[in-house]
Amino acid sequence: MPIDRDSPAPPPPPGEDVSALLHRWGDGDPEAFDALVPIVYDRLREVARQLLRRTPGASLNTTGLVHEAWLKLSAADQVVLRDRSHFLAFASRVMRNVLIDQARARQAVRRGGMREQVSLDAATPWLPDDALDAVTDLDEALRRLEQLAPRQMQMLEQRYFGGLTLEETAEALKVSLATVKRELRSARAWLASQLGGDPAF
Amino acid sequence: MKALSGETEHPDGVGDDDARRWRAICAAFDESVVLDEAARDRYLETLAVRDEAQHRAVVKLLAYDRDADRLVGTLDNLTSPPLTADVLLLVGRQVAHYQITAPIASGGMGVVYRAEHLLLRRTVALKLPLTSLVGDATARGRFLREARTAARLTHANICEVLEVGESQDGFLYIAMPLYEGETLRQRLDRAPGLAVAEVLTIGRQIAQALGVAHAAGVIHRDLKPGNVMLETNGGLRILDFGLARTLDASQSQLTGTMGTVSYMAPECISGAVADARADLWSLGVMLHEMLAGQRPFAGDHPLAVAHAIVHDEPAALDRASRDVPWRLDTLVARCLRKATTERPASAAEVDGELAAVEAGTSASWSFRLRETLARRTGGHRMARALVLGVGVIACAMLALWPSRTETERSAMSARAGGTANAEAMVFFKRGEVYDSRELTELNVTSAIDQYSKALARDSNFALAHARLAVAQFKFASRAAPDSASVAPARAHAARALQIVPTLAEGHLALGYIYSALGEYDNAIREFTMAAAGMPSDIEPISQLAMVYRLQGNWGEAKRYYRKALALDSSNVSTLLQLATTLQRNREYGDAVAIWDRLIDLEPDNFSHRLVRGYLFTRWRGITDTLQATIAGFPADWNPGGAVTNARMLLALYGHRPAEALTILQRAGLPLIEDGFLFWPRELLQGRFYDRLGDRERSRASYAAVIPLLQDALKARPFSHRVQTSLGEAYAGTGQSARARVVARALVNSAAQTPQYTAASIALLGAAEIYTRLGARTEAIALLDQLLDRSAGREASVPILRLDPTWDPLRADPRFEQMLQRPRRPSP
Repeated sequence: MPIDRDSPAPPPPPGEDVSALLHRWGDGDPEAFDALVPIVYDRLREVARQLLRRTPGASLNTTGLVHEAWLKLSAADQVVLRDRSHFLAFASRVMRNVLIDQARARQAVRRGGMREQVSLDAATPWLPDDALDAVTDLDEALRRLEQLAPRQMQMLEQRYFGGLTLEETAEALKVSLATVKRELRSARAWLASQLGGDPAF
Repeated sequence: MKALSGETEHPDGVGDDDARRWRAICAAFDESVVLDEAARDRYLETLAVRDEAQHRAVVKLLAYDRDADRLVGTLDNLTSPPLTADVLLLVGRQVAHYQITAPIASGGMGVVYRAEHLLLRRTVALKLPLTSLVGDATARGRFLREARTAARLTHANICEVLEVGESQDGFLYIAMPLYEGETLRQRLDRAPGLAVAEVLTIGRQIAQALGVAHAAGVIHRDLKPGNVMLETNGGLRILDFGLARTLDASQSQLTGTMGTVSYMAPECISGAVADARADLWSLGVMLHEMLAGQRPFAGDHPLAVAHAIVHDEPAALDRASRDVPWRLDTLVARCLRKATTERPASAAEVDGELAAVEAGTSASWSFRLRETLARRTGGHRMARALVLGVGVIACAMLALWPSRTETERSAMSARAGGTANAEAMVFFKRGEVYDSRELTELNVTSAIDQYSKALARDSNFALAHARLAVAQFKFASRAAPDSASVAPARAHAARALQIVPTLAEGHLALGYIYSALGEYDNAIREFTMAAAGMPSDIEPISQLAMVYRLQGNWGEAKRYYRKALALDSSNVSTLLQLATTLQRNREYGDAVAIWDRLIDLEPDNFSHRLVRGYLFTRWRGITDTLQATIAGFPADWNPGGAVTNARMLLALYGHRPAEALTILQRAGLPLIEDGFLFWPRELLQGRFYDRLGDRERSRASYAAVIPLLQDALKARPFSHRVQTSLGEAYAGTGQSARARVVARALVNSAAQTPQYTAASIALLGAAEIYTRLGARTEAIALLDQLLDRSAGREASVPILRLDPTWDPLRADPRFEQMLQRPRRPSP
């Protein structure tokens, strides 16, 4: 369900906050999702902006990424999101997956795979060809960290690549701010070692 | 969708051991990373002994922690958008939440696109400055800051800024409404040279916008026709306020296109500190270009133009062919003065001058008020006015404003009429600050605003009512005040006195109002009451002297000037007024004594010496003193052509018209002028050729000056001097009927004006015109009447004998009889 710019979603009823909307959405009310748009749009754009900034080779188009992620989010069902931070963390992950999916699909095409696997409009030059490997390398690195310490990977993903604030990250993961700060530091150093070509520990 | 759920999975292939080991490494890292270097080394040594593998891992992690920024930096570089992309090629792309649809314009500073807001579906003009291509974070920050400051400006003639921002891909952008129209640049390219009326409309709108911006501390710095949008609906918008500095426009302009350097002020080119007056220069260049169809500084390439701006005089406006009013010509020339101090002081002043030209009214109020102030503080201009043979005309009714010391102010607040409301007092004090500043429209309106706010807090704050009344009166005085325009001031003065009937400030305010309305008896009553309430204050006493003087009651005027001098014996303003009062009363000896005192007080003020020199021509009919005086002047001291004028008069008095003509031609001055006098070069030429017997050239010169004078008369319809000059020019071109009309108008005007000196000037002017027309009877009758009046410079027996203006009358026996007739002694 694309965002229809000509008929923006109505504002949420008074008093209805993001959590309530998320709850209704989780209960299968598609209108609740539409009502979320104006509330979280700007924040989502910020998340997308950070993600794109931190993703090798990803180009431009925050809006496109948000819209693409929105498509995926709206298609998702059975997702229980507690609150705004959880929602943002989730959305940032969706966006990162959008990017990685695109990179993988493009790599597949380059290597002679099926054209049909390209899920996104190939005409949108989100990722230059020479950046595809970097994107997948980063993804591999994050996957390895996820195996070692899933929470640290989520922190890195949300805070560092997803543009959530430290507070939002803490809230999304239900940990203290101090924990986020502490664990992010080692995670960041670890990622640096992986991208710096020194992966063995 | 489950993989996206954020739920963690336990992937295969990684044992719990690895995870445990990683947790241990992290714990050691966490502990050591916060230690200082020595402590960390000790910690790591211990660790090395305990677990060598863990030690290796932690050391590595610590190293990458130090390097993370660099590696992240590398990451950043990789993710940076291709900023080398040509901003011209952005059509069809998206910048922030704007879809770019078409280019509108490009220039030295950037590119403007038509774009659509993706969510609002609003079409805007999106400006992408070229700095966006430079990765300098400081420059970007400065740009955003300045652009946001400028975005806060709201004025009908300043381009609205909808949004300032930085897109995720590194483009700085400014979103503006899409104004329909063309830039002034396009307009001038299409049709160079605009009608004067249009120039005035455009110039005023620009000046008003500059006034608002300058007041907010924003200087444009790159004002040029390309930045002035003429809207199809008749509006005007200035673009790009405050951006020039952030984009280092001076650099790009000197090396850029010629059109842009042409509008830069010399101080900008030479890299000196530029202030708001740099914008006034640019406005001057634009006015010149609009009027003349070409720019005042020319050159084959930008550096030549820059050189000309810094070193050369601007090309003269061909006033005659373009029908440019004299006053506008003068304003443009003042804007194009290389010294910023010689330019108009503010955009408001420029607007006032343009308005005066537009309305064809008398001198703009700020100009006149500044004249008044100048007289109060130094007397320079007043002295010049006297030098040039002009009495105090309309200016005299503008009272001399009090400028109070802090102590006086505090004392006043403590008196009756104050307020217990602290907030009201704060606004009142702020009002006083504006009051004490230079007399500009902005300061006056700001004072009005603050006093009004004080009264909103405490409506019984009598002193605030009184001060508001004075400020409103000043505001009304920007044009000739009448009973309607002073009504608000009057109401507040009355209210102040209703609350505290003895409030001196209230009486003072009413005094000013009555004085301006010509109700001198009422003014005297109010000023007398004010003087009683503030006995140590010089202001009401000076005002009383002034009103008596305006009435021609020299005796009382003298008495009050002496009283004022008893309070402050070195008050230059009072001394000046006393001196002129004495000489009008033909008490020349006493006047010379006062001028001597003034010369002692201000030895460098050559105006005092010049007036003193003139005094001897009227007193004794001798020219030696004046001759000797000007011989001692520095060669470059010639304000408004005052010394040139004196030299010409001396030549004429010595019956050497050829010499007078040479002096005039060598001086190269288009005009002998100050705030009141108006002698264009052509008028003097006509006069001198006439004396030389060259009728043809005299006629031609007089004919040439008539349109100038008619124009000047539109700007100052009540100036007896301009009327007299016009009458002279009509007579000099044989238009006797017209000349007579002017002469009769002057006589009528003399009968009607409540100002004694102004009436004398009008009578003298009429006498001059009649003399030139050969109407001796009328001329001699008027001079006879003048000698009965106490008005020194205008007519004394010695000067009537000396001045060749009256030569045509000398053959008439009635002239000599008139000179010898005994006169009433002076009061």
